[in-house]
Amino acid sequence: MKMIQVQDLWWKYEAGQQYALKGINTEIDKGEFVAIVGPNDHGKSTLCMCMNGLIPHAFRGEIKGNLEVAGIDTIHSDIPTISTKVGTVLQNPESQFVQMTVVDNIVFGPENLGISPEEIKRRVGSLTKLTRTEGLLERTPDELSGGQKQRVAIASALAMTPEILILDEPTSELDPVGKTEVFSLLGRLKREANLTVVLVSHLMEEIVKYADRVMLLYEGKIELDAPPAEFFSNGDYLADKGVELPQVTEAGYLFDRSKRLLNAYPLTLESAYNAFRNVLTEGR
Amino acid sequence: MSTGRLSKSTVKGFIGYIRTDTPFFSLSPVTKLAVTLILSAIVLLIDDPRPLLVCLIFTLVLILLAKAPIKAMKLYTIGVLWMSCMCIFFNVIFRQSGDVVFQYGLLRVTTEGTIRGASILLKLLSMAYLTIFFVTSLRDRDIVYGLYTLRVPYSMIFVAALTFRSWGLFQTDLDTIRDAMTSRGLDFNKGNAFARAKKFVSVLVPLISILVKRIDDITKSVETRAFGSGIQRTYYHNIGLEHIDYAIIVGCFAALILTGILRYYYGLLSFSPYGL
Repeated sequence: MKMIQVQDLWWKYEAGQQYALKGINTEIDKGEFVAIVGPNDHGKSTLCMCMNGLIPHAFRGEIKGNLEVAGIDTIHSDIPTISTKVGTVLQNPESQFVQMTVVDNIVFGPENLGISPEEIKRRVGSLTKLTRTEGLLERTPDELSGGQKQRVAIASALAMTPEILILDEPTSELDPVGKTEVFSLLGRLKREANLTVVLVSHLMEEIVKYADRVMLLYEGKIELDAPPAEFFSNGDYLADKGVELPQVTEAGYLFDRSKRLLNAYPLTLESAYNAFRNVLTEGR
Repeated sequence: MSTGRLSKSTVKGFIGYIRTDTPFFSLSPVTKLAVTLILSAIVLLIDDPRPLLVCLIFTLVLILLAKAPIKAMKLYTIGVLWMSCMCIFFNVIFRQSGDVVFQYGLLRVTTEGTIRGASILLKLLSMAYLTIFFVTSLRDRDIVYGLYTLRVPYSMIFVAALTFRSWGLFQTDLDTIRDAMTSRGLDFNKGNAFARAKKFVSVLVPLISILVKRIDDITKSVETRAFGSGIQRTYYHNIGLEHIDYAIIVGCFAALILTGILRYYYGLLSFSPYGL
């Protein structure tokens, strides 16, 4: 089942000189985990804002094409309707904390949708378990770490029971511990909830662990869209577009460039260990 | 982070940390506000220093029961005492009728000045400590929950909540910018008032830039969570008053009415026993 369908999508900000998105075409299946990578200001966040309806409803500009998310035409629908299907997690954990306590922040969305208190309570119970925020409910933002705040932001987005979760660089302002916390939660979401996830990130090491597909957005166009192994096999091309490879992939790439001994470039430390061990012990 | 010995029985309040194991903690913020306002009104109706002294003692008992943070109280007490001293001084100086209690040169202290001064001092102290009781037994969120209870339109409640929330963010941003500038050699404490104010202007540019970004992020965050959807909003928290809240509010109103009757029907609680 197609959860996101984008057809020839163009978008230009009112103050922009040129289109930020230029003829985007893609489809994302239910339960798929798609990572969007690319240099800054090349349209990643803009595409996310199209998917959650902020574009064109909260930004002025010119839009062309079609975009359907969970069966909703986001261009002609309103944000509250879209928000029942799409949860959004932004870069800055502080700014997403619009209420004074963790529990108030989690229930903010469902309250706005007029969900009954009993149902909200049920959601709080299950979500805090999933995001491991049970013990934090009465805490204020200054009593939380960055990783905890972002987990609360994810719980707040999930409290709307969305079918799609969009995360726009959710770890860019976190320390390594916070990053690990958020990605391990994303891993848990992938395993336990049949959620469609769109993640914008520069952390290639983490992307290869969770993503089913990786998409390169460059100058407003999708330049490459493939499963991680295939995507990162284009080392020179990606380097040319300003995208870093996972370190182990880069090591494999440099190692194999002349000798052609590896069957595939490793994506994780474990696969790199196995690949290099095979070459060293067996010659392949 | 609230850690350490106090964390088991305290929560971060509006001012300092407040104890959760007091009879007042679980009361509705509306009740606390009602107690503060009604008792303040009672204090205003009374002129006689003797019942005012009883009111002050009662207020102090409330504060003790509420286990208000001493540190927060100290600060306010200094301010209140300073203001009270000024009131007494002016009353003593400008109220010259009645028997002379003490005279030193032109300075003459009379019975009227003393009684009226004591009355104002006790009124001010009682009302100030009632405010302290109110403020130090509340968390910022209690004020917001109180507004829920009073059925204030949600847009106004949200503004209040966001204001409390934003204050912390503003402080953090301001400190970060100041630290960054200090690390580059700018001394904010150097120079006269004008020079120091000028240095703060340089803080404004990055601060405004950060604030604009924050506002943009907050807008995106609330928009994607159906804020302003037009749907009838529900409330997760139980925002009604409990029986105990009603009992306390009714009790306070009864005390107010009784005070009014004693004052205006029976002529008690005024300066009349002193012939003023």
